[in-house]
Amino acid sequence: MSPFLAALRKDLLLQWRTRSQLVAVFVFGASALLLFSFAIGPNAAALRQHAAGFLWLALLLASTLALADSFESEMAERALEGLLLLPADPRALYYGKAVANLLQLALLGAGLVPVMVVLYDAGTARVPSLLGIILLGAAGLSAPGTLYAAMTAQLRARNTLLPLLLFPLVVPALLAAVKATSLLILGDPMGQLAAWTMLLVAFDAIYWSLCGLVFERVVED
Amino acid sequence: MGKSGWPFVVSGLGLALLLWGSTWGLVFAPRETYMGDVQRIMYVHVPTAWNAMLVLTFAFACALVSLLRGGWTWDARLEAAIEAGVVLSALVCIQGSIWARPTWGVWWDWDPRLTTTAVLLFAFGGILALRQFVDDPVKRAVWSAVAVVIAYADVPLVYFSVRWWNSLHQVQSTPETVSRAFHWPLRINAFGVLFLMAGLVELRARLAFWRREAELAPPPRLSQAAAAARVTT
Amino acid sequence: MTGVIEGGWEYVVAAYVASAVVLLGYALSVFWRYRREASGRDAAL
Repeated sequence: MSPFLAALRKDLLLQWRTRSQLVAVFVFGASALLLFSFAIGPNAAALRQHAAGFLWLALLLASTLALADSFESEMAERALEGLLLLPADPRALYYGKAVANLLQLALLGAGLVPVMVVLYDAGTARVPSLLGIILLGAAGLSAPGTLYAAMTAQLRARNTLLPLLLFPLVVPALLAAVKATSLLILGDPMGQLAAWTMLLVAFDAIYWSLCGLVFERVVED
Repeated sequence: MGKSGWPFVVSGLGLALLLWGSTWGLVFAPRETYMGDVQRIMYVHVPTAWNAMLVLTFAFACALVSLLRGGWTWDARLEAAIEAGVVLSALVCIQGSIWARPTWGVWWDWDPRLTTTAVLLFAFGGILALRQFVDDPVKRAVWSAVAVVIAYADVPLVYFSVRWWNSLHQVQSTPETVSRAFHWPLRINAFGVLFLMAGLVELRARLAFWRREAELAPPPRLSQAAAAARVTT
Repeated sequence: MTGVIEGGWEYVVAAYVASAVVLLGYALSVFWRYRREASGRDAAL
């Protein structure tokens, strides 16, 4: 089994064993969506118009919890050093963790969609496209998020530093995901969805390669 | 790192240039046709914006060299450049906000360049915070260099995405500030900020280098420590 | 021809004052920290 697949299997197994944490993070995201709706008020039209933005904000906030958790087990008993001693490229470790985080965030996002549909009356007929955007957006959060989670897990103020470093970075991905989701919910008369999707793909391509390249320097001793 | 006095000379020259350029722009430059006197803000805003990008690009270069070559010199310069970049970016946002109010009636006009500067302010401010929380100097150097490379790679993406997001909503756009502004005060102030910050970045880099030396210094000999204790009591 | 924006000198002054405060403030901050560290080093050596 290739090192990447072994790492991926390890992380998916870890996530499965701590799935109650994922449920807690989901509840956090759902309550964030509820609280955001109070900021707008019972104005159905306004709620529907801003639903996409709130969905991605809720996912962004929930991701800081999920990403920080993802390195929890590596920090205990100096497990990270043990993993790095293995005769495998550290990049395999990174990509295994990043893909596992991507799947977890995409699952979270997909789970929050029904909450959005109910609270914001913001559904779409184009469900496969919506899931595609959620996957691409989750990928945009996962790549730099996994890198910075690896960094900040080793520090004292980790819970503050991870969002502090991550949020400015993912602005392009956030903008593109929100616009694309909004077009799917509210309609896309001028056919702009493809362009925003391309921006998301470009962001993902750049960051998945860049972060993998520098991961070794971040975890080396 | 050296201890020569050139930064003081260069910064002093920069301040003098700023005084000259600002007086020219404030008092003697002609009044602009449509924006009136408010346009005079451009004589400090544009030079600050140019130099903010320049300093952040220098930070990116320092980060690359620091990662590839190692050593403390480039890490010290990186620390100085990040700090200077944050100061200038913050100033650009303040100036841009003051300019937007009489021009557009709002304190923020979501101009793509200004908004990108705001994102950069938060990104590099976060990296400054990161440096504060890492105790190991080697990790601090590597991690902040990695973070700078990643943040800088984001700049075109941020700019493009904001510009596009902006263009779908707004009819207004920031006028072509360079072509409307009278060139001389602009150029003088641009060099003024450049020279001022060049000197300050060098001084700040020396400071960082010395602090690194103190951090990594081996413990003093017992006799030295005892002598130092006797001096202070 | 009168400009579309009349007056606004208080904004111009605010922008120039803010720039001066930030730039001079940072310059002084660097200068003082440098002086303190430099004199500390000279005393220790």
